[in-house]
Amino acid sequence: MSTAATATAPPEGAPKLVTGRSLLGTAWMRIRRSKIAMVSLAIVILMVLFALLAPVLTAIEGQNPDATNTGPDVLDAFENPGLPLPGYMFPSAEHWLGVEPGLGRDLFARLAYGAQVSLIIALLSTIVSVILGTVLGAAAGYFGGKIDSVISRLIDLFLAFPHLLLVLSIAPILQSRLKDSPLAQGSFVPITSLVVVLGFFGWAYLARIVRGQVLSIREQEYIEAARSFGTSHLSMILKQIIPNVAGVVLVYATMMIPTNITAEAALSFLGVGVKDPTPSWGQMLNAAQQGNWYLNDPWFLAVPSIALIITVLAFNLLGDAVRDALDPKSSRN
Amino acid sequence: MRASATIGSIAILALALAGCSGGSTANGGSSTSKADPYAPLIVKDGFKDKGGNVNVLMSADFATLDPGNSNYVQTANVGQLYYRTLTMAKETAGQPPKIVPDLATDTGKASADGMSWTYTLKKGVKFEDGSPITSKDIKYGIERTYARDVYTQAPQELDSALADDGYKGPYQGGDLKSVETPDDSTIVFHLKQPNPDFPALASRSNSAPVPQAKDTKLDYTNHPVSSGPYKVKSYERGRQLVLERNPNWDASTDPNRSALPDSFTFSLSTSQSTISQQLISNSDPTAITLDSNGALQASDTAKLNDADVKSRLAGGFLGCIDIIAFNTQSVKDPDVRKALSLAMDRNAMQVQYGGQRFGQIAQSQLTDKMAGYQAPVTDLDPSGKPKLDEAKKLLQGKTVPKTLSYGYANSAPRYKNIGTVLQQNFKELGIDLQLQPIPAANYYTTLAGDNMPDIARSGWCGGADSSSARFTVDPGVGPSIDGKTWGFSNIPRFYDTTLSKEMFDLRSQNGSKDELGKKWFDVYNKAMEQTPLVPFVHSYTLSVVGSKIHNAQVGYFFGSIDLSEVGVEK
Amino acid sequence: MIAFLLRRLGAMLLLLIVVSFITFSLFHFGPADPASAACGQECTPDRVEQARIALGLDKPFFVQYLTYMSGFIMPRMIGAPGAESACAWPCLGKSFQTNENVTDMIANALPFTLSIAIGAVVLWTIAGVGLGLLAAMRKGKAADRIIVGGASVGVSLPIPVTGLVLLLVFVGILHVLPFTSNSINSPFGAAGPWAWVLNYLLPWLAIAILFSAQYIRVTRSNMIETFNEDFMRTARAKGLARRSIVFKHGVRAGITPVVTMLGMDIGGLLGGAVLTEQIFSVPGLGFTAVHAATSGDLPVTMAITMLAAFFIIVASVVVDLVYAAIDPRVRIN
Repeated sequence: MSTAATATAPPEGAPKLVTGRSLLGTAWMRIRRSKIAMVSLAIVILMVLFALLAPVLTAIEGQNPDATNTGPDVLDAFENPGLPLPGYMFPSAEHWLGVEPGLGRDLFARLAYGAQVSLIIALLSTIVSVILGTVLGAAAGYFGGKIDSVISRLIDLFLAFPHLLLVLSIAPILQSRLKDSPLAQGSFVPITSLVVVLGFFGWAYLARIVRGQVLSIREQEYIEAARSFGTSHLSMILKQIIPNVAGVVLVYATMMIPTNITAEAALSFLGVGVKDPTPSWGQMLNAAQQGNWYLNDPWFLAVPSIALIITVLAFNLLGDAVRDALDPKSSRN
Repeated sequence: MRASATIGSIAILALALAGCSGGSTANGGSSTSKADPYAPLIVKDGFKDKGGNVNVLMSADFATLDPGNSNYVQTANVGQLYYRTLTMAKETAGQPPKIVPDLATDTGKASADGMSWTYTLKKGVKFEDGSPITSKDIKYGIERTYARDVYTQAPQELDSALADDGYKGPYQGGDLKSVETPDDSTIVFHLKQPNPDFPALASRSNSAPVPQAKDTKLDYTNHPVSSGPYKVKSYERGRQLVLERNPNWDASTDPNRSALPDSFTFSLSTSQSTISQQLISNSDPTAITLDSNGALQASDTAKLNDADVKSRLAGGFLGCIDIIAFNTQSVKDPDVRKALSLAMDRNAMQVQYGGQRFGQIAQSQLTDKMAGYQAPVTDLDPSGKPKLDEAKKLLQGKTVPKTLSYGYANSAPRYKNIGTVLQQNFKELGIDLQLQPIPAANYYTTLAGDNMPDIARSGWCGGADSSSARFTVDPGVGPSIDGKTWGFSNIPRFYDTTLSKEMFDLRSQNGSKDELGKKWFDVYNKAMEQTPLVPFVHSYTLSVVGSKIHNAQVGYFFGSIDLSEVGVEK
Repeated sequence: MIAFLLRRLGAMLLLLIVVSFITFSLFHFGPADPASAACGQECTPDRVEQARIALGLDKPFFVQYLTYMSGFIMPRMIGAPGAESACAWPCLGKSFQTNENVTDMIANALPFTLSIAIGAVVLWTIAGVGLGLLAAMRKGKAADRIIVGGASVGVSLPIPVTGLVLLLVFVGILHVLPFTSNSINSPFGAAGPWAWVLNYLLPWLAIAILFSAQYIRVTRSNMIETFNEDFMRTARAKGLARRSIVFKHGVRAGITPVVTMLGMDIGGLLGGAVLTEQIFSVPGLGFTAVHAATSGDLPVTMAITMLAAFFIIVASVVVDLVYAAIDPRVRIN
């Protein structure tokens, strides 16, 4: 999440117009035919399984993400205090991915539990954005008039905010507010606050796109016809509008998940997201930078980095495939 | 490693500089013996050549240069160059600073009842504009520090010993009655109660002279009027500060500052990674740093063994000893506290502070460098290993809390890592430790407030005179009138009626330093029987300097290279 | 045209006021207590109150807000009663931490942010547009596939990962570049332009790798779309040489969305490259803002957030104007 890119770049090549549900079926056919798409899908599924099975996998390994190993047999005591000794720095039968410097915790266990946190945050915040964006965008496009102008101004406002700066300031506020709530258990607070912050700042683009879609759908004849028969707003929105914007929403959602994975990593890296001892991939990057550990222990940087890149890449390629499949005009075909 | 430019521990404010006039200890950089890895390292001392420029690399600007608005060790260190005080805490590597006369002719004369102290100024001392420094300028400097609404960081130790609590500073309050200036070279302080350590308080930056006509209030930090060997040549906030010689400083009045370089240039926004890389690679042979821990990063430690770097390494103990404080109001049972203390793996905690190289396992907050030394009474393992069996035995038949909270300042990873270590240790006792981050800026306010966690890390560097046990014991486990109010000292909220009374009495006792010191040691040892806190590491700082730098010693109080002695080859 | 500008300026002002109000309230109701932060460590409850008065935080919320905003119109006095000091117009307040004039702090930080932005923009525009164009012209060929594949990986590289890996390789392992030095913030300084380039090369790369990947994708798909449009076919049918077709007609029409994106990205970047500045410890606006946000330094955070919003809004107006200038199909009204 570099300052502006995620915020300002519209989902490139979002489909111009998707007409009808049947397209989803044909889209799936197309995705199945693409090798890249299927490999990406497999990686995504594997990553999700990796996260879900974290407790099982770490039980097999015989480690847990919180146990420290600081003895002089594991960590260097004098020459380079805290650096794992060679037998512990790299993968071994005992520690599948080695241990981290300083506290000597098991890297595999932290990566697996970190996957849970990173993916949950990305998924939930995407859902929040998608719901907000679809509902507000559809309402603006469908009702027009005052509602439209209020929502459109709101969209303008959200797009004008320097997102990262604001998120930086809001995340700690939210965390301290949530801390006093009865829900404050373990890693709940940082996860919830990131979901809220990322979800709340990600909806504006989708809303703008959905609004445009709905505007053009509204002009179409069959909607005009339905309206003249006195169909209620609710059923119009449910039966006509929603199915018609489902395609663009799906594309946008698939593309937002990797953006949010990166955003979590960025915020936790900056120290305002998930905080140690709760592991997340961003928190692991943050730990690698502390005291410049990564210069002496590049493996410590490599572990979360590789996981991040593979996952984000797989989601991105999958997103491209979904978009191409839904957009017959796409330049790729 | 440590990132903050203002020192991380509560102590900063309190420290005074002291000193021994000659400046250097016996031997040079090679003085370490195998036996003592913590002996002070001084780089190339005995240097006497004047001239040259020292380039001081810092990761952040000084919080302030105004002596009346500073609680920061960095300001105290650079302050030696442009302000003088009545007495001065003169640094010697590895030793608590010594109180010596500075602007005054001696360290002060007490009246027979100990209720007032009199100082006489040296003749011929001048400000940078050539005007003479009078006792009125010193009094005005002290008056300013009472304007706490203007100077939120004003040092308070000296003020709180004086007999005027209601005074509001010169802008609203007029004249400060408890300080008298019968003539231009005499200044008399009237105290609330006798205080044999007053000469240490007189070394605080409060007593730096400020000419009333040039008091620009909060903007004074941009150009404090110099009474020392250097004056501000240029100051771009956040970028660069240049100090040049003050022609009106007379070396014959000042045996405490060798003032060898012609100028000092401070680069104020160099990142710590850059600083440590530049110093280790010697890319600027005239460079030093004032950042804590010499700006060294965890990844740099291995390079400190290279022969070239080793010869440029200054090092020494600081007064700072870090502790784990229990909230004795929430963890009430002394046996439970003791069991928890025995379960702590202080070796693992030491690793988080950079390992043996950057600190020694501490058995007490009081050191053998303090007057009236008494050995600590403690069951903690001297090597820092946990004693789990003993801990479990202590807890048998006790009501043991299921969960405890550990609060830490979110400024440095080491503070959080200490919590992670304790979490594992307490798990062995069946206790779940919850880690609770606290914004660094509000850390000590939180510890003093209603939301104090059960356990918290804290630090203390020794107070106004770190050779007196009093200045550690009193703020550490000090007395309370009712067992309810502690203010910002006594973080464990330790209260024992007998000990409280003893300490109240000790505060106003007159006597020799050794005699009083022994009494404070005794009180401390008695308090420790109830385990209100657990000391764990006595900080040792290393700082690499450029190859042309001489006389580089790490100040026990400053925690960085002592600027008053450093010299540079041209 | 003038009416358009006036309308946009009015809307801009309004938006800035809303942004300022929201930012101010966020901090006002935030968790960090600026008074106890400013009070330092040897603080007593008594002194916290005095600090609160000195900083003007004892006043009601709206009074505080209006006092702050009045600095945009006229100079004002800041400080404890009886010891105020002047703050010249335009007054953005004084830092709670250091009493430094915020206008000066911004003036100090801006050259660093500009240094990063200029190089990064140049690098990613040349690489992104150039490669995108190349890929579009060689559509389906090996060059296209390599570029498109590279771009897919590029958009999946989070800046913290790229930045730390660059530092590890060029500074930690190869020793060919130093850590970024903060004494260089302009190509016209004493050290000369070459030292400036070397100093900022890694931050530029960290940003440009991600951004150029995005620009490749947008440029390529827009160019391909333009090539397929009617007027291009006509031109080709008329027998115009391929090279001149591409440059005279295609690029001009196909580049418009890229210009929009570029304008918005520059606007975003000028507000501070938060992540990059943090990774490379460059004391620009983003770095300063992170420090201020975490230490409760309200005036500094306010000023930088508003400045960043200002850049984004200005960029959107400029983009509209440029859009009209290069695309004859768009008319401003």
